[in-house]
Amino acid sequence: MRASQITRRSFIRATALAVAGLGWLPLDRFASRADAQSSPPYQALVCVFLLGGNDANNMVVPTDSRYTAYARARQGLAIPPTQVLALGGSTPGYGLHPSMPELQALYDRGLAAIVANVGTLNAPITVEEYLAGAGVPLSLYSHDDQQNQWQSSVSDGGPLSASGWGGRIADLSAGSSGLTALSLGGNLLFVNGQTTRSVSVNPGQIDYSPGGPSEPFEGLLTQASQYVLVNGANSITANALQALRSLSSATSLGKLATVFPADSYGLGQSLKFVAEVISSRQALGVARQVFIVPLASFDTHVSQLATQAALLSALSQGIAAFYQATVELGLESAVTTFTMSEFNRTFQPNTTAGTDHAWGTHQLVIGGSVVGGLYGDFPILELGGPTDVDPDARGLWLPQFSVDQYGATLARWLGLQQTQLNQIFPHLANFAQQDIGFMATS
Amino acid sequence: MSPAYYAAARFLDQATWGARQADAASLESVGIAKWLTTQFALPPSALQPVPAGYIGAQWTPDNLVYNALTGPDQLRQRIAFALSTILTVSCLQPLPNCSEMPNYWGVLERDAFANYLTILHDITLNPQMGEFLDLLNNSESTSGASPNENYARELLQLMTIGTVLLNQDGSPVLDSNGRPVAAYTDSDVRALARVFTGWTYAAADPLSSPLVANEQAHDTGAKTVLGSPLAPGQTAEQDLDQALQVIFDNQNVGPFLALRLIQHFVKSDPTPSYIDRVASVFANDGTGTRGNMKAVVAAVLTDPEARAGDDPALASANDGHLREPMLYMTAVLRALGAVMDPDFTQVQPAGGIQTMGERVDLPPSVFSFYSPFYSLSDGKIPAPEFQLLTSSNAVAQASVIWSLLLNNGVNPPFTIPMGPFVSAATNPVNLLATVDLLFTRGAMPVEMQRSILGAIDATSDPVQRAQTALFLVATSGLFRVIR
Repeated sequence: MRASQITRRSFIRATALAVAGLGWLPLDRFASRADAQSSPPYQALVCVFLLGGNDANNMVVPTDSRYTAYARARQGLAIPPTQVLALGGSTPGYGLHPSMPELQALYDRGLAAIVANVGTLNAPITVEEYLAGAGVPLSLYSHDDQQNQWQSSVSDGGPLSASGWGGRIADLSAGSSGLTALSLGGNLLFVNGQTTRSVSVNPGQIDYSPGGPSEPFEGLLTQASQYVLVNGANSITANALQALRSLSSATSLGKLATVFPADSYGLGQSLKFVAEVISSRQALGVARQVFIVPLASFDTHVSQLATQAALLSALSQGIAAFYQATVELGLESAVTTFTMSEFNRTFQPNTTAGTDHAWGTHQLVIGGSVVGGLYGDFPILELGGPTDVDPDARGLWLPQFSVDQYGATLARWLGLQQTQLNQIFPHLANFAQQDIGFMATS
Repeated sequence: MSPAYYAAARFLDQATWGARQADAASLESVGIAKWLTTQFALPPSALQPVPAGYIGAQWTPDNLVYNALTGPDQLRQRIAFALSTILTVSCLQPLPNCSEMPNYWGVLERDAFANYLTILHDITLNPQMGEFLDLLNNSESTSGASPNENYARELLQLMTIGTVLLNQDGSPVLDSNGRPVAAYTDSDVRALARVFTGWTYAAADPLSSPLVANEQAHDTGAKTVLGSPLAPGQTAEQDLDQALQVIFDNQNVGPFLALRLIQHFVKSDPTPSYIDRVASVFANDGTGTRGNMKAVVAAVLTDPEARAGDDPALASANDGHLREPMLYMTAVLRALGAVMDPDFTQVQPAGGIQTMGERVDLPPSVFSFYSPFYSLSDGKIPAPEFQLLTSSNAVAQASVIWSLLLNNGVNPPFTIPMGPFVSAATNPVNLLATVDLLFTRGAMPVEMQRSILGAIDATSDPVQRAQTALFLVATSGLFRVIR
């Protein structure tokens, strides 16, 4: 199944390139060039954003001789070695947090990748350059700035910092219905494109009835005002009615057998809603979708062990259930789930049994098109060591991969061309490795 | 339309929880200066402790709604609400427990007219803030662990200075390469984290008393915060007071606060000159005092840019700001003349506001409900409150308002007096004029009048007519945005 999809995608891409030349290629243009009976295969990206800065240092733990250095630096926060869930696969010496047996199973089946030490960067820099303040991302340890930079992939305040790379991918799906970019975490930058109007929905709250007489209510929304904000409120509400109407009728059809966990963070229910939307893709008239789902909060300055254990358990169970739903839909190779988080946390603990803000972190990618394994070099787990940029030696890792490289690898899997990737990720050309390699593409 | 009434109602929309006809008439006769003086003298409306057995946990938002509808200290309450979005505490974690929140809100209400340095001091030592951002029981380095940096960083970033160095008009200071300059460094955060060590619960009434010093846990080394040296060997209190003074004296605090207060009370997109004028009052209230909140709030509300739109013909296209759910719901209730049962322990008055997406004691993080820099998707003007306007919330708002108008307006704990509207409904033009005066200051645009009249005329039942007219004007963009 997977092999023939790759072959067909290559064929479509090669043909369209030959005919249309390089440049922007809206998705519906693929359809007109492809085999007569086929439309572009459905694909979706689902981002789970770990809000607050996940302590990835305890999510992916070394199990070989490096464990000694890990335990020494992490002190009371170190995961006991017998509790670490050792990973199989081609890259030995790593394990997952004990709360993540479902992720361990997916990894051992080759369905999950760990991308090591990725962070916000404009261009590669060295520790010396960091200390000199040259080319460092703006506001590096600020939650909201870093969340926005992960979501926009722009760390120098440039023009594309006002939109999200998920939304810019959705912009390429011109002509489809309004539901190509969906947030379940409020109005998040990730799904705002330059032309795409993203939709943000509270899962379970898709009632499109305004209560009172809807016809005059909607009529008033179309009346132009002298005030920009009045027009903004009206147009958002008009679009909301349309989007919720579509979602309500489409998802009433999309009931799944897969059981989703009912965790206290709402992640299971959010991912269930995403799966229902995906199952309704034909009714919604979409061929490509980008989703973002929040999981909060990972800002474990205090009492990290218990808090993170509960969060990672919800993450592992939620992702596993969601993968199972994609299998139920026959879409496991068409849907890729990936994590983002604004930063890692200090390798050195603080005096309240927690950690503070850091930089380069590890992310997870899951799906049938993922080439399982651990990608990149792990940071050297030494306070003040060669990968620690911190003059106070609290363990802030200099990233080896940028958000651009991470996002471009996912976008390339969606079939985007190099020129499109360079437009969506404006600093991508600064990095030698354009594709980290964790996705199966032709 | 009466220009004087329009201006008075507009001022009250900005400075209170929502204009009411009688209040506007009164303001017309006494004038803004006298109104402000009266408001400054009013004591805070009480915030009761959570009663035993109260259903649900949202006593504080419920109590705030009650005070919004009944308390004469409107300006104080609005300032406290504004401060809660800057000096944010949320009860979303195990600590602080939501039952503690009346104490935190009480500090904001009590200190609303105090000096900003006093506010910073009282919030820093507030036990709920200590629980939320970890000042509580933070301690000096041990071998292999450093002090918790949470409060140090968020105090600088979100409550006083912000990440970027500012001119007095709010514009960023640029270096020789045209790039913004950082307002503080990671060293400042680390040094401040060491300052904020050695504080713990008071022995008596720990959840409602300021934190007390525990010198054993305090880092007594020398520190440098924002370029100012703090001598070694100081007590926790000496370090804290000196550090807060240094932060308070920073050039950013005036424009930082000016922007946020202007956005909260008047408009999302102030000109740099407006920010500059307000920031200069923060720097010096005219008597040599820095940080005088009364003077700053008065400057925000009386500035020519705040008052320009009192004549709609002179309003600018970028005027105003979107009512966030708490402001929107209270404004609708006040315009309707809603009466609230003082015993609301069984029915939650703030439930509708939560359905709209805002439970005010439970923001999702220390970043409150929205960023001052959030803008509409065209990126052209800041529009902070729009960050809360998701697709779900936009539709939920309307349905909550509709539900208030059903059952002859009796929806506990609220009673909307529907009688006058139903009587007026026998003559659609009268009904329209009535709702116009209450919601759109008597200046409803002609096209909107035609639409609402058409909807009223679609039924002959006076109750349905009244519900329709009130629903359409209360959910209109023109009312949802204070302009």
